[in-house]
Amino acid sequence: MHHGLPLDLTFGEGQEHMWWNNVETKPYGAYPQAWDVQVLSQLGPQAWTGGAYPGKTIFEAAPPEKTAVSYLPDQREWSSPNLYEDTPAGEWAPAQQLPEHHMFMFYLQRTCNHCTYPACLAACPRKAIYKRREDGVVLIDQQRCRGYRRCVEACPYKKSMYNPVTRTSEKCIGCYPRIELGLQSRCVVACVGKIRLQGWVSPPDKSDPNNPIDYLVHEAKVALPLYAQLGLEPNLYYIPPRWAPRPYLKQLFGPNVEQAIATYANPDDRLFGVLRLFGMTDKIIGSYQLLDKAVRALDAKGSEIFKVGFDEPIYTRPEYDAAAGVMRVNEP
Amino acid sequence: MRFRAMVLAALLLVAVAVTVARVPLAAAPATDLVAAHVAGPLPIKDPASPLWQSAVAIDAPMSGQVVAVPRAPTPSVEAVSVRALTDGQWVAIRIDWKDATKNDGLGHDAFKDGAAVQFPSKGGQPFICMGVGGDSVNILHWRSDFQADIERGAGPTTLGANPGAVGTLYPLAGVAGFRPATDVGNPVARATKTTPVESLAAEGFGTLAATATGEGDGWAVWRDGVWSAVIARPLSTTAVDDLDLAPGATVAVAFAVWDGARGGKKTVSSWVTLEIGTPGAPAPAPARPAAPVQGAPVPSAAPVAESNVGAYIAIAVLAGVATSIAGVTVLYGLRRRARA
Repeated sequence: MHHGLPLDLTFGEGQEHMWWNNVETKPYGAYPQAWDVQVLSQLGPQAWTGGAYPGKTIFEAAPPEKTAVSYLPDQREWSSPNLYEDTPAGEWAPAQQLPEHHMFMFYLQRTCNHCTYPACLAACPRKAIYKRREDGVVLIDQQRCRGYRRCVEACPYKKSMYNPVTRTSEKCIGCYPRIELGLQSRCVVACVGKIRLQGWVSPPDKSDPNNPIDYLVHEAKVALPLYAQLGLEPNLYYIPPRWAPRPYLKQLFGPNVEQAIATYANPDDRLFGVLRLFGMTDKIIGSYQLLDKAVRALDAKGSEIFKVGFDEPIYTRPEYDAAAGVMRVNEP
Repeated sequence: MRFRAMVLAALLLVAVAVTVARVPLAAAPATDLVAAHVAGPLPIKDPASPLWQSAVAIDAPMSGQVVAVPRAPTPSVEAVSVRALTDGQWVAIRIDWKDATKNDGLGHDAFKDGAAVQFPSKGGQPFICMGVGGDSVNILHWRSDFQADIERGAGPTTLGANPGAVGTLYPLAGVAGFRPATDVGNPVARATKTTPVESLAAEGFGTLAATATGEGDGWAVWRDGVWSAVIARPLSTTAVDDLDLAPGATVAVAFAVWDGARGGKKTVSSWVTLEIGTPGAPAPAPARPAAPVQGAPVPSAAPVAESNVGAYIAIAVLAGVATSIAGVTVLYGLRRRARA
């Protein structure tokens, strides 16, 4: 979907799941078009007071005929996933420096948030959507769905999607068959940038600092939910980009952006260790142990999955491999 | 205040008494609609057949749906015109209603037009809103999108349903696993349709399910801003959710229509009494003014005059009690036309 060909192959058969897991570039990229701006403008101006949000959620502001402030994107809005992608905002200026670039864009990875309070679930007249007790994955029952699209309308993140071929709505399934096996989802494991980590998050008052997700979300507070003000308690958390203008980041990730960036930019050993866990295994990491400039990842039963140092070791080898009779190239 | 409370309590008592004791209400339920007996075959696939002139049409006043979200307080049409035929084997009901646009629901933001007939599963008059637990209804639902599939000879295609798509290169196209709803047998996702009418059972909002053995058939024609849809079922049935009918029987029916142009929201009628005609029975006197022929606009509902007041008080009070828990008072299906 991202960086796609100009002809849109995303609609191709067998590629429907690509809709569920897209990367858009902010601030202008949005799939469907302008989904975030439309939801925010429908909700109307709301303010954060310090770290609290006294404003209305999309549920509280809902008109009587609906469960949430919402809109149903039209065909056009779904049709051009790449529109405005890779388009920076702001004016170019020489020698731009942190903490804020005048001209900026960044990538935003998007899948279903498997919300604690899913608007899609609330809106379904058929009760065809359910949140799994065992892992919190939100699913649309493909046997019961009749394609009313109330979930598509209600989800402010627009991550429930109508498939006009099956006449049912579909969404990210959180790779639940993998989760059942103790494995992280495919989008997490397949991320070549190794910037995704999946695990269990505890309620804030039951945070376990030895659980990497709890540490990032509740202890170090470097990972923030997207549009928390909408009231769904999304379960994807983002480490905000360091260079983007703060007012824009605060709109996306809330008032704790400054602190999150400050902590992330100067990580202590513990945070650095937890960040080293990203992209190292396909198994769900239950807990970690901080060692001397290294970190050990354990599965849910406490068995070691891997151990990794903070620094990659550097090996220096002769340019000519006499045993194989070949010149070595600069690859590991 | 106290007086009002006492009146309400009295009404409630009356309503409860009427309901519990099943006291016949002031006016015995009169026959609204008679399925005229004709020598078969029934014009199930032909709403324009002259045979439909043998049936006397009635107008069923329609209201919005305000009980479950998404609510639509305003009906898409004020009334539908209904007539019925039987050949002793099947009963066919033709519903005519105004709809400025023909919508077949193909696309992300497109919704279908549709019409439905609701029968009680066990007789009587279950809760009008798709029945209630233990007292289910059988719903025959004609769908413009299913009919479009039949006319096209196939279900929607990836390219047909996505105007933005210009090609599909997937080498495993058509392999099972990529259309989960189809693979698990969801009726709306079935690739080939044999009838545009679904036979469904429900016992309340959100419980709609395909019936295992129910049969439904029909066809519709849209012309000059009017849909004319035939919905038919066999009289005799062994389907567990369907009422077994026979010539001479009287049964409650209710109607619903959908205008795809307003996002798939439903417009509903109250219960109407349908008598299955018998051979040689004299043509019934029109219970209501005959509707115009197909293709002409359906007249709007006449002013309201109440009859069967007790029934409506009972329904209103019970509905009020039932829904006041949710903080919503519902006055549902109170609009009724004067009898001729």
